[in-house]
Amino acid sequence: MARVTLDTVNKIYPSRHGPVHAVQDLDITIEDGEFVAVLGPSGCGKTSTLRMIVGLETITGGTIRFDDRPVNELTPEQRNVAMAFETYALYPNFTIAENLGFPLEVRGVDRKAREAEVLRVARLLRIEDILGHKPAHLSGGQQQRVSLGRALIRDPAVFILDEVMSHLDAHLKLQMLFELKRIHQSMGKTMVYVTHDQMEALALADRVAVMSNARLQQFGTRDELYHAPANRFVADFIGEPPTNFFDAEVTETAGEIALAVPGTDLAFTTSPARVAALRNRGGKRAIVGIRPQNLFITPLDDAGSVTATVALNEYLGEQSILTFDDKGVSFRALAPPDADAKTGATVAVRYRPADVMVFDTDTEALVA
Amino acid sequence: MARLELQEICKGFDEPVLDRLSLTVEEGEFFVVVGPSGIGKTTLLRCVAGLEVLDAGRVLIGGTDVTRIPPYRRRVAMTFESYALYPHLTVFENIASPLRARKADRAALERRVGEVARLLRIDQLLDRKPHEISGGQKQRTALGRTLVAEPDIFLLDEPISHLDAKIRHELRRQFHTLEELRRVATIYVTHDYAEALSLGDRIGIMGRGGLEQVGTAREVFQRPTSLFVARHMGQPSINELACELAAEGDAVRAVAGGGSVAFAVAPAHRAALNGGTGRLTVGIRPQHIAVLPEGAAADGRQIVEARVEIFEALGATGVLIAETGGVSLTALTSPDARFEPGQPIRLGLATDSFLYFGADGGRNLHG
Amino acid sequence: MTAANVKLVKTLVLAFLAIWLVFTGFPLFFMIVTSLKPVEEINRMVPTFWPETMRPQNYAGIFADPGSLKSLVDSLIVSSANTVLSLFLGTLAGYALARWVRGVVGENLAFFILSNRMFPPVAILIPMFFLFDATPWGTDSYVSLIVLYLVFNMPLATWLMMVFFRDAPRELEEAAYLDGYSPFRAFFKVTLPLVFPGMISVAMLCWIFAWNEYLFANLLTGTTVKTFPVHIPTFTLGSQTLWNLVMAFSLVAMLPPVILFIVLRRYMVRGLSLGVVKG
Repeated sequence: MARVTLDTVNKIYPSRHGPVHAVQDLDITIEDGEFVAVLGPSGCGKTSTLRMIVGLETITGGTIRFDDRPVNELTPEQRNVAMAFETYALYPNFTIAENLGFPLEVRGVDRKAREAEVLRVARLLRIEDILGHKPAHLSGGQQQRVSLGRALIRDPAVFILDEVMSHLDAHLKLQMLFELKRIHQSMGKTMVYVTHDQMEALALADRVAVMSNARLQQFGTRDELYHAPANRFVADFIGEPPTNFFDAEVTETAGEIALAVPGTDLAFTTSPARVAALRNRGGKRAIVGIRPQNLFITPLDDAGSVTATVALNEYLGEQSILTFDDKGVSFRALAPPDADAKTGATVAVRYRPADVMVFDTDTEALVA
Repeated sequence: MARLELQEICKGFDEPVLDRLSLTVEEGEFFVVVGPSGIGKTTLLRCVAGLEVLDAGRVLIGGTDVTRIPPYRRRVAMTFESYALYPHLTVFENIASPLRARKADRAALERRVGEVARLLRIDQLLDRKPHEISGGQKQRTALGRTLVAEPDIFLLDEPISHLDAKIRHELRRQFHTLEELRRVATIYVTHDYAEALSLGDRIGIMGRGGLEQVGTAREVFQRPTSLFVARHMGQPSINELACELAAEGDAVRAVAGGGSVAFAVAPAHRAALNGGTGRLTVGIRPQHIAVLPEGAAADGRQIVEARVEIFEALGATGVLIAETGGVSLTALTSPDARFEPGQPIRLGLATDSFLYFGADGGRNLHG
Repeated sequence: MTAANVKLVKTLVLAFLAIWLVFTGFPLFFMIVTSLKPVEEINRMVPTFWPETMRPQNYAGIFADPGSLKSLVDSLIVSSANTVLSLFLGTLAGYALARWVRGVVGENLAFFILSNRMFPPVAILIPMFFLFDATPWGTDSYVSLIVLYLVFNMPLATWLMMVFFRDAPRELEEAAYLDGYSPFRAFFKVTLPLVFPGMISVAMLCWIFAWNEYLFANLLTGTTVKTFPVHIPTFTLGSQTLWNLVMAFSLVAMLPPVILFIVLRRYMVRGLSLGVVKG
């Protein structure tokens, strides 16, 4: 077990068109036994980060420490890191038990000890009934577990998972996510999970590191990312349906600050703290962000409201997504599935001022 | 423009994939086929397009039997899951391809491609090659290639499942509003139930061999004809509880993990269940389980005392797994709620929304 | 790997490359040096590694024999015609094998075709002579060599083109059918452009084989048609081989394939590392 520290880690790849800065000044501390997700769109540097932690990639600048020991110069073997891949990479001619036991066999662990260990891991992953099968006969979810098991059996200091859920059907995915969470809780190992899917990251991790353009954008818990995103990128990347953004003008009438969207009738108020921050900042413009689930068409206490026309009502079973259009500016809201909002109807859309996020127009950082 | 009819079509490779599947898609209808991966959804599209030779059955477009007509004379357009853009041609030439095939004159071709590109907002990219554009732009180009042809039938294979959430929502809206798509018969294939519910005028849930159920979004979600259908609609998945029907028919008892719990059967459901054998599966959707604050009224719901096992705040929702009498129940909550493992809670179950499935084959007993 | 290991591996790789360079570079160096020596210098017991007297006139000297230029032209005609034919037949056959004759039959048929390249050419030398002797155009003609080289080049072209066609995604052709192209037109619109780099590579391999072939050319032809490999041994003075002229002529004969390779290199590399057509 280990605490993993990344201290101003940089990765620069040489290329024909000059050096490419894949990871820039990354500072992250992953506590011992913590489950951390590294989340970002493709090309954000998350895979380079992971490869540096594992030791598959040299570190251009900075230090990676396991506990207090720098590991920059160590091989993956010496770091004792285990990794599970996106593709399951099971040996098709081996049974599940042989697949699981393989890492131990390579180390020359004797047969008896190996079998006991295989059984222990199989129990943990709930695959003890399929140990005699060949991989071809397993479902995607089962193969995924075996692949996890093969990494687990080595008893690594740090456990790294690379996009391991992306091949699973949606209804299996959530199940597997909770399963993985349970496994983590019963093992207490330090785990790093790399993904581009924000739902997976939020569901699994104690803390999420959001990356974009080679830089860490924010490192925090689900609530921090959700309610106080550091910038527009984080607010946009976390949450589905995506956050609504409006380019707004800061107006002040009779001492009340409002954020009006030019060319429309939309105007939002925000929490007293943010109003104060806006006053401090000065400036005429700002970006307003509000999440679709924080917009309501049902009555609400102490709420602001805007009026808008329903352009689309999508029934999704547990809920509906309403898309509103106001003179070319469109935004979405989540509503109960039986919401009375026909296409073309004009309704009052309510919100709590505290849920209205405000970002700087130029830096896109949260104004707070 | 025309309606599409499939009459008892059969297609198998090593084992049957489509087994006497019949379906009619009306002109102007947007039909969505949803199902788990590898079940044969793409095969269905390929049979309609003529890329697969049927083992048996007929395909009719506008009343004409096209079973033996090759794909290039069917007036069917299809997008592929891999986009299948021609890598050596520009976006313009990719979109223009169907017009070139029928040797349209130059002016008409340029005007039409321009129109479609503007509609899909890729008119800035016409000179680029496919490897120079993003996934969403590739998908738009592929869509443009099908739109430009003005076909009788549209076939769309997982067109947005590989895209980011943001572009997915944007394209979904476009599918709702594109006149060109909405006025012909369209079959849209996806594995994402939310996409299916959102887009489909009607939805077909595909299982082994064919369509398990065909109906509107509300029909398939609220009244699934089988457990299979119920299981593939909804996130998190429906709670499936193997139960024993009580002799009086007013309650079912689930036994699991050394404990058991009884669920009331709503009066409206009792008649349907009386014919059933003793064993059945109760389906409870997570959104029909509410966490009740201390002292809240039952309000027609069955109250169950439970203990929190796991709580996770996802994006717009929270998922709670609670245990009662050895039975695990998954409930949908607000993401801002806070529950600690082991914490005792009261669950309110909306019994009149329960679904009951036969133990053999999982048919809906009152559907 | 630790930093020290990385350094060691790098040094070893460089050392290996240096040795390899000497091995491959030396013969070429010696050819060039020899081609610039006067006759007196070429047969010394202790060879010189740099000409004592420079004699670039050797290069003019080889073309004093009108047969030299004609042999290059003959080679050009034979290898180019053979390449065009091999490529045409190989592309059609390769496409058929890749798309329509799959399964056990296709695999075996394709392998049978390739196996035609595997027998020792000497085994059919004499039969081939008699076979072409019986044709109206006889052995000593362009046609005989062009057709004969098909025996070697067509199996290779067929096999390689088959592999390239298999790698070209079938979905692109299907997309073209749905766009309204018949299979014939779809082939030219989509499939052929995709395998074009591969075709260039195949063409180069065929062309170089036909350009350099000696055994059959020597036996079948020699009077009306005489390719350059057959012409090389004729640079003699009495019983003495004029190595300086042989080397000069060989170097000249090397130029066309080298130039061709440089011009088409871009396509060759892409063709030989196929799979690039995806995405």
